Amino acid sequence: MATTQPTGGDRAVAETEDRPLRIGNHELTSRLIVGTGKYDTLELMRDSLAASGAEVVTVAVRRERMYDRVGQNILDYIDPSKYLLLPNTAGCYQAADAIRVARLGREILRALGNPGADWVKLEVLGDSKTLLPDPIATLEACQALVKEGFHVLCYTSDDPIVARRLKMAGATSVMPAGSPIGSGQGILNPNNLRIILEYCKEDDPDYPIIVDAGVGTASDVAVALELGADGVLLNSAIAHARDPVRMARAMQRAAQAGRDAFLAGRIPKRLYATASSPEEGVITTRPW
Amino acid sequence: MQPSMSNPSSDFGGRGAPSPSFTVQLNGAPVETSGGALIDLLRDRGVRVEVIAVEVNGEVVPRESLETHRLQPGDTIEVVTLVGGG
Repeated sequence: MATTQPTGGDRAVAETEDRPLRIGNHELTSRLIVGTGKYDTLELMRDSLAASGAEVVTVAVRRERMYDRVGQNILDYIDPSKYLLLPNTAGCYQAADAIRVARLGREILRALGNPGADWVKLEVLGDSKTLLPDPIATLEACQALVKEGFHVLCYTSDDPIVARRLKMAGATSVMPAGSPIGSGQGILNPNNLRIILEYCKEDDPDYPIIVDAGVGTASDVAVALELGADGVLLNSAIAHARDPVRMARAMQRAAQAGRDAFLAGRIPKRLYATASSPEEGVITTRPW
Repeated sequence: MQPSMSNPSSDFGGRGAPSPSFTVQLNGAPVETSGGALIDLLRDRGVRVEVIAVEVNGEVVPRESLETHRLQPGDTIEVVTLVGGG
């Protein structure tokens, strides 16, 4: 089917009536942050990142594989002058390890001259089966990294109280999981997300809340943004889709649609119907 | 920054004695080295210095210091890079 161009008027509305997403020192136009893991090939990753429209991509810090000279580096496929890199502390189960990994990630990015050197996606896990965060170790690591000058984007569960404590500890952004990492279950508890948004934005409406993890498909992204989240971070839902590039494009569109729907303001849900066509002037009679 | 150590091979003088070597832990594996600068150990293993960070005994060694940082017996060295992740 031939694609149709949106009308000029609609496009102008969509693109002009939103402010950039501000996270720490960075201003972003795209509301999607995408991961770079789990792709079958680095070429597929590169093309999917491009199709997602994301400006920020997450990366992990791991041992350099010595002696394995055939191995290409991921940076051969991500132009660090084009993307803002967000290093994570994935795989850390203790605060001290997360702090070490954050420092090493910062050093790589600093030496690359990538502006992502000033931030980190903090992830301190409590359990390898659920990959749920350890809230106590996360808070401890968050406090330490903030003290070291990091802008901490903090992966957490959807617990509103923990989210508030992380914000109080100086996290630049709180990033609640919609559902467990890689589970594709979407946003399991929209009510908790609503409460997190209410608590964290109470006196600080621009405080960024990013839904991180659990996205399964494009509608999950739309739901998160419709609820008022400022952005969505996802990886598996694109990387493990049957057609990752197409899914990346779907995610981009869902992000735009969800954000627009949030800004536009949805109608309230009602139990009974409300007619769209006027009652006045009907030429028929009601049998009941 | 680590104080630079005099070249240990000088202690053994002429007479063609082999340089004394010692062991460091490099990414979890023992490696024999005759000392020298950290950067030489990395270059010997074909590491692309522009995409890595190095930690020695738990402390990050800044890129600018790799040339001058001298290896010490028993050092624990971690060399990391970026990989795909979410």
